[in-house]
Amino acid sequence: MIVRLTRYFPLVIAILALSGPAQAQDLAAFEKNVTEFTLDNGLTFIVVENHDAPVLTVLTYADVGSVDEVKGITGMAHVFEHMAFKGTTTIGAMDLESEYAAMQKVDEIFDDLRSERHKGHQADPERLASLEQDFEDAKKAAREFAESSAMDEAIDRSGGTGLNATTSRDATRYFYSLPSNKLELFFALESSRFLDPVLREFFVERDVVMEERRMSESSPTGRLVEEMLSTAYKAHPYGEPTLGHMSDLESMTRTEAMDFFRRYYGADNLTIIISGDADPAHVKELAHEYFDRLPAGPPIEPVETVEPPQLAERRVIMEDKSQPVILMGYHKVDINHEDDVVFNVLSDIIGSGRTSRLYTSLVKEQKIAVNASSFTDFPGSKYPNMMVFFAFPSKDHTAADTEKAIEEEIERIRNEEVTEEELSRAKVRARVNLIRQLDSNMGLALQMAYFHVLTGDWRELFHSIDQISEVTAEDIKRVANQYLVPKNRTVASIVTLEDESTE
Amino acid sequence: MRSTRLKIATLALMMAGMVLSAVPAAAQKDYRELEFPPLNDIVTPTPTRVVLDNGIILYLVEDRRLPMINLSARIGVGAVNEPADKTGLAGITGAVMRTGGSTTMSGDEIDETLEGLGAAVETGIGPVSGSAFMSVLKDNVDTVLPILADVLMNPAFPEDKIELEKVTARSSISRRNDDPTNMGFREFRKLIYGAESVYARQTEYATIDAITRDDLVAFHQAWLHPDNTMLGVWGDFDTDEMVEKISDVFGGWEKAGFKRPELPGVDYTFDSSVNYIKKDDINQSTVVIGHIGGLMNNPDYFALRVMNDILSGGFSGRLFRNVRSEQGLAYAVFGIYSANYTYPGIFYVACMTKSETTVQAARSLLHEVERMKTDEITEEELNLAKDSFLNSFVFNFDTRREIINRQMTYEYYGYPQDFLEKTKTEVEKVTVEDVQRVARKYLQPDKVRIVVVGNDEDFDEPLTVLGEVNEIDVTIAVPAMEAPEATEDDMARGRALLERSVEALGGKEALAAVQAVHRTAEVTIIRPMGEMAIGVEMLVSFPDKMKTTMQTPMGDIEMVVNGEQAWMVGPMGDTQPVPPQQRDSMREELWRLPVYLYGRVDAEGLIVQHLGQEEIEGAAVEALLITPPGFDPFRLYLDAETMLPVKKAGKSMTQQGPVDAETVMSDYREVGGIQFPFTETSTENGNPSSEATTQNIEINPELPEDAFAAPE
Repeated sequence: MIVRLTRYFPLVIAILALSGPAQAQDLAAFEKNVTEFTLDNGLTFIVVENHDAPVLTVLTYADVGSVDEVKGITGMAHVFEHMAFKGTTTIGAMDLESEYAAMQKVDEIFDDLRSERHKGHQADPERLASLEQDFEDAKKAAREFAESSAMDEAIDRSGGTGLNATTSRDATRYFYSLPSNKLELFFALESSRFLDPVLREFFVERDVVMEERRMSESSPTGRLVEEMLSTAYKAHPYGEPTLGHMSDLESMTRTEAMDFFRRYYGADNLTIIISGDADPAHVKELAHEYFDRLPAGPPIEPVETVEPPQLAERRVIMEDKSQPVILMGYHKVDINHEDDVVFNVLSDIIGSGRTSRLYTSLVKEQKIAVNASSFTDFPGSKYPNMMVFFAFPSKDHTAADTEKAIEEEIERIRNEEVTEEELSRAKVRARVNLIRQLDSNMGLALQMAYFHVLTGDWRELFHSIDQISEVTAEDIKRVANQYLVPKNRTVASIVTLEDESTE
Repeated sequence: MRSTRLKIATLALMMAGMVLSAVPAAAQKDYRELEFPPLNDIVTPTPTRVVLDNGIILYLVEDRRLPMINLSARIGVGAVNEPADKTGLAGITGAVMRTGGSTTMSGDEIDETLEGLGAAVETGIGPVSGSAFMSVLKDNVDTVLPILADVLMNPAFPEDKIELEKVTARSSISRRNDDPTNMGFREFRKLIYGAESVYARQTEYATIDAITRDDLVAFHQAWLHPDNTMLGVWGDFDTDEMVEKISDVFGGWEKAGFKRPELPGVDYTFDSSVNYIKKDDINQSTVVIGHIGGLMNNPDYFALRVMNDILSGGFSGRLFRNVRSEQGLAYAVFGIYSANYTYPGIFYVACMTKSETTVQAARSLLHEVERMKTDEITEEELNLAKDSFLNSFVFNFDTRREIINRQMTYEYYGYPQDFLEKTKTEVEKVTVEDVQRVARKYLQPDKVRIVVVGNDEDFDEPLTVLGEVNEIDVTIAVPAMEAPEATEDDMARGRALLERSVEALGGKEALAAVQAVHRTAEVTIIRPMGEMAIGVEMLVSFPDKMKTTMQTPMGDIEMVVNGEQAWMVGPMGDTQPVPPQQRDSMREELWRLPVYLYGRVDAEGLIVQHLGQEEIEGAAVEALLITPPGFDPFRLYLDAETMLPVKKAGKSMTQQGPVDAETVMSDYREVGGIQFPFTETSTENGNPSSEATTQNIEINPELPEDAFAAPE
């Protein structure tokens, strides 16, 4: 049996430790496995060593999400994420000059087509049809000059797994895992990706994104969540869908996508985490070799719009040919506010696990729901966001039944202090859950990037657990009374519209 | 909007200059020319295998990185082993083992204990195997391991937790037509294996209703045995100590000499069909196309694996490249020739595409399958597939969980312990010819079964261009009350009793003369959340017109049935049509009104059966089973002495789905020579649902001309 003490050990001690000074020491021990450095262009690298297996996970965290979009180009952050898989001037390119010319032609025809479409009923149908045909032909012609799946293939061929990317309101994250001897491949591909991407096959990929949007539209819960957010936020862009509005997707151009890239993908807006079997000195060499060439971007201001205090309860009732669902969202603070951690404990007690109050009351005792829980940080955590309660009513019950039962539990939290037992359970769980999350290179990379970018220091990962251990029953009662009040909420529900096919 | 765009564009122009000046001309290494060092050695522990005295097979791997201990169990039982008329029994048994707790510790107590320690214990029974899982900080293992053993060996199966699982199961049935992709794959599976097959059949309200606590107890006794159980443990422990702990907690579990029966086979004939499920509230179709797949012990499995990668591997397979990247037809496109361990898998290709490209996408999917047979597979494709598999091989060993679960899986299904290594060796040998050969042998694009879920009004072409279309009805079956076969004898007795009851209610002549009834009542609606009293006015004009007005605090709500038409008028005067199923349910209710039924005892097709004498609250009653023409049967109970109907019971459709509805009728009073019950108390699924007190009844009232007029 192989028994080795690894980097995880000090981390675990740190998490489990209860007293202050010992903790600081163990965090210091853990830090020995973490190497952090920033290039002159502002790009930060964090390397977390774990040599248990010859594999590693790479993650590029771009501090840009759909929250940074403006009206008219919603969906752009996500469309760009798709485009970042299409290769660069050196990856997938076969005849760059001809390709640029061909793409230019596609863009021009699209502009004409868009202008003609804008004429509405006055548009000339013949011209429209001919432009559409030209558009198809031009797209096909442009494809001849490149191999757009070259990057995917290179990663696939080297044994890369879990290749993907996600776009949220707050961030765009690109990641995969590799056998550790292929580390340099990541540097070669990723530096090129954010230095000189070529947004090839833009309009086809945009069609793919439209299908992604339709998938969400085909889900009753997907439809409800979108309605809820657009109701809960009347000013802040958290209310806009990350997938974008269909009409914005229809009209966006490659030039706009390229503009978005230049604005938000400066080196100083990226953080790269490498977690696994990597040597920090080697990483540093490669970082200089490949990433020094990336330019810093222009200064980026945070979203200036602040959601004004909500003055009255808002309600969304969606009549739908599907079974009932209820969502109740309350506005709350962002990740860096001192009350934020109280919400984590509150949510754990009221809405997570089999002993939580919602599950006990709605599912176990009243049997009016098959699932009832809560979560926080929706739809993001960088800006003030929401705590959400939700339930799927069981077969003989409606959204209204479950709403009332959830409201009763919220009232209890407002009126009575939670028990010491509940509080200590929540604290133990926070610690153990973190250990579980950290048992993978990917989990660790995601957590460290999240804390590092949003709070300014990955060490907050530890501190957040300390803060949780300091939350008191009075804190919870105070926060509940301050935020979980009817006028601060948006209630969204599906009311079943009966139909033969949905019985 | 334009202006914001302009602003960004201007900014971008400024930046473009910056970018150009900032990029040094120095060329980087070409990513294709990189040379990589050899991969560091991977330390792969071989799990220790121990067989305990009672037959439990135990695998252990020490892993001291985290102070945690994890356990995963595999039990030789699945939904394939449950009786068809109790489909769902295995899943419910698996869940209630844990939620219901053991004979020594209730499920709720277990929840409290585990959550206080941040630990988890779960159990479940899936389609072909059962499982259990435990995760705990090592300091708490002596508290949690006995809980795991206890729920596996001595589950209590309390009624309330069984009911909880049944509520969940019924709710998931009611929700199963909400998601088009799930619908598509569910129906596709049924088409491949057969709707009744153990590999595809689904739970129904009737199969869930049929499950009792005795069934759970018997199922557990029949299948949960130590010699039908494997345990895998990994984490921060000493192997010898752990073997001792496990022997200890499972020590009282006795060997049963159990031998697991073989799984049933699958009969499949290759043929073509096009199957359509209409869903008119979506703008995207789910298209699934395929046929039966194979087994992993087929020597061609390794070449088929490589073929899968070429057809649909990740982002660089043919399906993804052609259907998604080139044509932009779908976000989700996937497919696989799947091989299972012991029963044939499925071959399918599928995607979700907008309604307007449904047929185009179906053709593209099929085209890619055909191309696997007809177009040459290039060395480049082969190498990409093989390199990808071989280079990522290390990821098979990067967690202890994978290593130990794989060993258990191989032993469970009777595969050699080195099957993975064998796969690697065999994949290395696969050639272009091999792939071509297996593609030709196993893929049959001209004999596929197609399922499309979507809104055909917007399709690019009618589905009939793909073949004759069979529309699948996904209506969820509402269980009818069980009707014993009608014999001449019980029908004769039933008729005789009904005739006596007709006399008691007022006589055939008086009842036949009833053309319309107007009734006002005070109704208390009872819901778990509270009660609400409303006034209800009901106007019925025989044979097929009915108007119910409910005076609610929000305003009046009217429900009207007029022959084939039915609609509802809300408090704001807003009118909505009532869907056919609900309309039929309202018409069905009409038959259950004694005054209506008794006036039509001679109706063609009406079946009356005598079920026997029963007792209701100490009083003797005659139980009749009435089947109105075109509707499901219901029970009618007649007071043996007075012959008046005192109770009716049947399935009823409510807004939330079907329920067992019962109504007790009492306080009979005479109006116009006919007896009417002035008090009616109802229950749904055994829970009180309403109490109605009649205030006034008028027979053959004058009907305003527009009483049942359809809305504008």
